[in-house]
Amino acid sequence: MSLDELTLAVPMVIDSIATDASIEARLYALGVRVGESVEVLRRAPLGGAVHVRFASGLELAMDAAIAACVTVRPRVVPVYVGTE
Amino acid sequence: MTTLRATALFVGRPNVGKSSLFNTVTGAQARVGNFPGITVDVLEATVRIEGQGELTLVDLPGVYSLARAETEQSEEQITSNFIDQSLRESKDRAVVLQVLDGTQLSLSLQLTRELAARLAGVGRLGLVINQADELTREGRTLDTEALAQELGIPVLLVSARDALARDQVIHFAFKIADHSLVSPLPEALDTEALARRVLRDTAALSDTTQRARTRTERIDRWVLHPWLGPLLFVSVLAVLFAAVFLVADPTTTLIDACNKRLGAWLTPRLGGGFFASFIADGLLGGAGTVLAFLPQIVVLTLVLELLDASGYLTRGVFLVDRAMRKVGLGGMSLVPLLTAHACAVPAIRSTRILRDPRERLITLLVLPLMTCSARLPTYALLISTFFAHRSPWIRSLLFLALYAAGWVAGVLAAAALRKTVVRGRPLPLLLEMPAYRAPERSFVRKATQRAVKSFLRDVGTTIVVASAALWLLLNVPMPGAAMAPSDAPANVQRVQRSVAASMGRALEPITRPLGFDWRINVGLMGSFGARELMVGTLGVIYGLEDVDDNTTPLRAQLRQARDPQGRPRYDGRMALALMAFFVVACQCMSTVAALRRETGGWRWPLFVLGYTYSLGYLLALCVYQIATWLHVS
Repeated sequence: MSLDELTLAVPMVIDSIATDASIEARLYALGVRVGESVEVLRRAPLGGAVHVRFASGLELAMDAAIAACVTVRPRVVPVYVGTE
Repeated sequence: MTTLRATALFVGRPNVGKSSLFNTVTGAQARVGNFPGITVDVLEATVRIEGQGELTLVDLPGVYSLARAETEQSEEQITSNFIDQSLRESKDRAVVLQVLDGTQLSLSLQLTRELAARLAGVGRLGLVINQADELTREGRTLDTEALAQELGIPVLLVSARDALARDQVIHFAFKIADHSLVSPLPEALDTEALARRVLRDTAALSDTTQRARTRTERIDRWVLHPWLGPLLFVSVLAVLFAAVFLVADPTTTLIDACNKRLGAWLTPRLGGGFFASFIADGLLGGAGTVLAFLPQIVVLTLVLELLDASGYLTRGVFLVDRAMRKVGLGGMSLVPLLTAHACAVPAIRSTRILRDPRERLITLLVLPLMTCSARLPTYALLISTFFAHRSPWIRSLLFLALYAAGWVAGVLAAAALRKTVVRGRPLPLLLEMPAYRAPERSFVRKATQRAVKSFLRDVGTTIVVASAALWLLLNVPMPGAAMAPSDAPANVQRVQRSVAASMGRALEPITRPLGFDWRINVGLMGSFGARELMVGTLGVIYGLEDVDDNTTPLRAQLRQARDPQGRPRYDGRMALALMAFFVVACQCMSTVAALRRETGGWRWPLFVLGYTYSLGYLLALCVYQIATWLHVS
């Protein structure tokens, strides 16, 4: 699932980022990393961009085309069985 | 004791409060540094501390990373070059002070890693962590000692809003200057984990953080609402546009009145001859043009600085980006393009908010096509002279069509430029949305003062020189130009014998297919000073006084003018062609001067002149020929 298809306000984890090198570098510089938690706060009118928030507190306005290149997966919630 | 000299470069991510910290530290001393070849303002200030020496502080453009320096003149490139240069020049001890946002520490630490790698073994680095007050409010404490120890880099915690920050930062910079060279951060260091280790939450954390976060969230719920949001943003821009428009008119009237009085007072004292006229009309007129721009520059800079510093501007861009992309531009371009409908000159300066250098260049190149208010007197004159017999609906439609033509020309030109001279894909929208912050008054005030100063120095001088040259062109008699004696007033005779009139006559073979005779050509030359001068210049050619206040006599003259064969000299076809020419041609020396300032040379202003004049000529030619074919009279 990619970031642009994400349901609003459901935190996920970035699985991969695959776009052209300059945009990847810019995302990296902004502080976007694989493995980081992310949620989509809203979509812009006309569907042009998404407003996303990362676990670091960083919020970005991101073109939907970039968001489509970022895949996400559900957060793994640790389940403890038994007693320690 | 010898005075020690040191230079401190302020480096940091955008929105960490770097510039407001710089403002707190340097106070009134900061000025735009004289660094040739840079179109971004880099501020510089020197402070002297008794017993410590002299410290020069430089506020470099905000950057997310040093690595992404792919385009020349980008913030990354400028900052990167400055750091390299300071390392090479060893006469001063240079230190880099990275400003970090304490509330988003892990993000800023990425840049720390890059800085440490760049400076390793050759430079000195210190971390100034800003937003200490914000951290306290969020109920968090930062263990600066632990952070300094883990990174091997000295750390200072301050708040840019605190006056004490000044001395703290200055002493810190001197301390760094004596500190050992920086070593690269260990590869394995996890900056995120480090940030978590050094930031300690006190009891009330979750509550207060939640509150701070929800403030921005709460505002965003309204401001970024799917349809209220765009409405609000466009309204804000409309108010900005109206404000620029509203301050322009009374200022121009006032300055014109002052100029007239000053000219009347000065002329007899200077002997009343040609020289007096040159001073009173040529030079004072040019100075008046410059002054008339100032209120617009102040309003625009003030409002844009407020919008930018508060964090609202990025949100507006987020909302309108898609719509603007549809016409080949980015959301950020909407601000300068709208403002250009009042006047292109302040709009040209406002393109500084565009971070993508290509996007900015394209916007600069198409801005002069927007229908500015200075075109309106000419449109009004032509429509009321040659279309008075048509219904009011047709006349209003014509006006609307002229506005639309500006946009259409702009969109087409942007698309054409992207395929030719400014190649390369536009950067897709990717902007940080900072939390809302109250802009600091002194910071906004100083930015506005700098805008005014730089306009007077860099644009104003060009305007005065061009205005003087234009006056000479319109008033110096062409050598050997003999005119039949007439009873016309002196200024009319002067214009008819002028170099401009000779040039206008020489151009007639080229402009006849457009319906323009030498008088219109001279009017066009006169209106290069400012488009609204078209009406006044035509008035002078026809020997009329004060046509700006009442155009009725001029309209009558234009309608009744006959060529030697007794046919009307001008008709609706010429009016349409002239308006078409006005839509496109960059008939404005102030725009040219402002473009030179913002692009750092004559190349792009000359390009704009070249392309808009050729396009204007072609468009006017087509319009005239089509109108002839359609039997417009």
